[in-house]
Amino acid sequence: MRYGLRRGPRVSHLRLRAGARRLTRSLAAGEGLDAAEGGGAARASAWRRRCALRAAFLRCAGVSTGPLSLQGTRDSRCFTSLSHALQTQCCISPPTSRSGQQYTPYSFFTKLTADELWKGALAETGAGARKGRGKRSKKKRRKDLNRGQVIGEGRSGFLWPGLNAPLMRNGAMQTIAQRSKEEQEQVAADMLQQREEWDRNRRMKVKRERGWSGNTWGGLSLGPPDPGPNGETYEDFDTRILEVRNVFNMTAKDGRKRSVRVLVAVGNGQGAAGFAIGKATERVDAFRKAKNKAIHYLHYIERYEDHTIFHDISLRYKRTHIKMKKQPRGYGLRCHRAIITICRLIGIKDMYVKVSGSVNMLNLTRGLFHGLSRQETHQQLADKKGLHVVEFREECGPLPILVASPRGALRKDPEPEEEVPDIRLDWEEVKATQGMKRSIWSDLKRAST
Amino acid sequence: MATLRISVPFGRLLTGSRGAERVCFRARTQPQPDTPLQPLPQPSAVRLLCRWLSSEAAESRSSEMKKPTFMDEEVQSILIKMTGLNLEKIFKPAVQELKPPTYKLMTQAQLEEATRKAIEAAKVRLKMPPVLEERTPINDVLAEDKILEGIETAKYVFTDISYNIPHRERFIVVREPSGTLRKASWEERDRMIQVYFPKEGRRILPPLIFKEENLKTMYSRDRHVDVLNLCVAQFEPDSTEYIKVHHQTYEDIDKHGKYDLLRSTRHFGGMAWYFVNKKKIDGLLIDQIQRDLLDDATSLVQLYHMLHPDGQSAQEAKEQAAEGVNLIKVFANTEAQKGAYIELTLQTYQEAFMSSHSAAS
Repeated sequence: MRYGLRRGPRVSHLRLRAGARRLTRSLAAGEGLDAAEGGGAARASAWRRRCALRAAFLRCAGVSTGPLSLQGTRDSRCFTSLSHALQTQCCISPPTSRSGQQYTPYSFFTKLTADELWKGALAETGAGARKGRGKRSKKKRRKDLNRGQVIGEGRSGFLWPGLNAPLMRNGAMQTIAQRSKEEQEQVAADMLQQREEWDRNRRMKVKRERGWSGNTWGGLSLGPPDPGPNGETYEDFDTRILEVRNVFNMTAKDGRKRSVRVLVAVGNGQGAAGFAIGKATERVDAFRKAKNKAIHYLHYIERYEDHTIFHDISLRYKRTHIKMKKQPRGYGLRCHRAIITICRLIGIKDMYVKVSGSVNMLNLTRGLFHGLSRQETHQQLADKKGLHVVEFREECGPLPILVASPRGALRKDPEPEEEVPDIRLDWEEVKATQGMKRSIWSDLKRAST
Repeated sequence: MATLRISVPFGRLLTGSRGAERVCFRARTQPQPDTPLQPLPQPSAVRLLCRWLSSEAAESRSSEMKKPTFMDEEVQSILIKMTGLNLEKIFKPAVQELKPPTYKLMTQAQLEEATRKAIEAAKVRLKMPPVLEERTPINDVLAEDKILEGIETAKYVFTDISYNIPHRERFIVVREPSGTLRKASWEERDRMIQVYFPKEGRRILPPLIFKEENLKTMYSRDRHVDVLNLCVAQFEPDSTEYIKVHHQTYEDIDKHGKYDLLRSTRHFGGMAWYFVNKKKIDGLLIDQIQRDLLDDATSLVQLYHMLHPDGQSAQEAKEQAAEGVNLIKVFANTEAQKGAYIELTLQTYQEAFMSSHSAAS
């Protein structure tokens, strides 16, 4: 509140418009004076009133030492004399020239504060708001009606030095002046335009970043987790939402109690990643809880040359079957969108994953981390078998590339090789290789990575 | 008559040493069938002639031994040794559709076996493309038919597409609009053979990359190997463009000292041969000494002496019976253009060698 006066002084005049646009009007004595302008009969009394007001005003102005600035140091003491003068001198009479809008200076709206009035108008509490009965379209927004009001500005356009005109000019104290009709109309039009612009900006919808698709929270980033109590920061970690679900619990008192459950994954792109779920009544709180919980459950995932896994992994976690295949550089991530998000957080850039069976997000994430954590690196394989691990690439011809040597003893006897390898074949894969698979979704050109 | 008979092989004497030997033999045996009619026609004269012919043959033989070709075993062994065998560079990942790699668990013996197989495959890849003389243009007119003049507006090319003829012996003739029937030129022959018997990697019209400005761009990007590979695929080894592109590439490499680009490729031998023939081995020598390849440097100088045995350095080396570093020093002192540079690099190398030795001990 800029001035020392109460928000809704009883003295203030108001103008009733459609939708109760303005609850308070400026304290301008201009209203009283406006009232006085039109009426011819009350002219004499108006003149007397004006003089008295002016005297009170000048006294008020004279009281303070030094020039008054328009903005600050409005002591309530300064204006009590003025308000007293207004209270005693001003008679509340409507202007004879009606500008087409109803103007009731003293009514129900002037008897209450802005907060009370808005509380009634918005109706945030009540039976309708409880238990999720409120409709999204019926939600009203509170608007500050005193925005743009300057004490001193009124419909008759008087220039009060110290209020809406400079107090001193070239060292001389200014007198009370009045704008011409055209100027006043211009000022009023400007004010109107400004108010409309504010309304428009408020109504403009803030563009929300799009995740996996519009209106879903999956794939959106929440930024890095909050710093820890001992000062540790997690600036290089990024969090991504995987799932947002409204879950309900039946309680004794309130019946269906809504709660938001969020599954979130964090990762720094260098192999450290983790996931967690957070539950709260409000979505924002649930995000925060999940984010800060996930940073405490990190897995380190070994990657081959920082872009893919070491070997093919196929596992079943509860009812979710995941089959991960190692791919060369440039292949990209051709997987389920949640797995793409998680792999980006881990730092895996090329992989093919097929998910069959249940696609429950939590089980999918848990199964993925389970499988990735239990990879066998080339060094571990070499140590286990006691043999060299040699890589053969098609693009390099017959060149053998030694990837890992056993740290312990090197075995002399070779690994037994059978003609028919003893591995379990996957029927879907066999169909695909034999060309028996008639699916429209295979070899579909998707967006890269 | 004997003289008559001898004169025919006499004309062929200059073709080759083998021919000379055969000629010599025939010259001795030919007069015999004539003996019943006449007495032996001055066998002394024949013998003198024979001896002269054999001496001629011997001289040509020795001069030919002094002038080795690219395909000689000695020359090839030296060039192969100089080319080196860097497996990583030879089996560089090719630009192709990538597949995930396969892994094998091997013992040390299996690993060595695999490496040996890779080395053999590498040796096959390093087989040098042939270095031939430029082919003489064909200007053979078979028939002039003025009666056909003005009837056609385009040339007609007739190619023999029988399958079992070597391409070099194929008949390809062109009937001009003016009525002349002539043998097709070498460029026309190559084009027609590519049309009917397409070879992989070869295009009918030479690609634009062989234009001057495009070649310059390729050189600026250090892609001399790609240029040479394309050239080998596109042109015949004895065509003008092939030789021109190769020489241009070698000159550019020499100008910028980018010898290492061709090391462990199949073009290194050709480049070394070109430099030795042109007597411009200084840059290559300096590069080899700087990379601590002294054996290669000495073998290069040996090759130089093999090809130019009448030169000053060859003579001096034979006198001093120089070996190793001394050979290079002899060369640097006598025939090199940048002799000072070579000696300087040799000095720095020896100092580094000494310091490393002392550090080791």
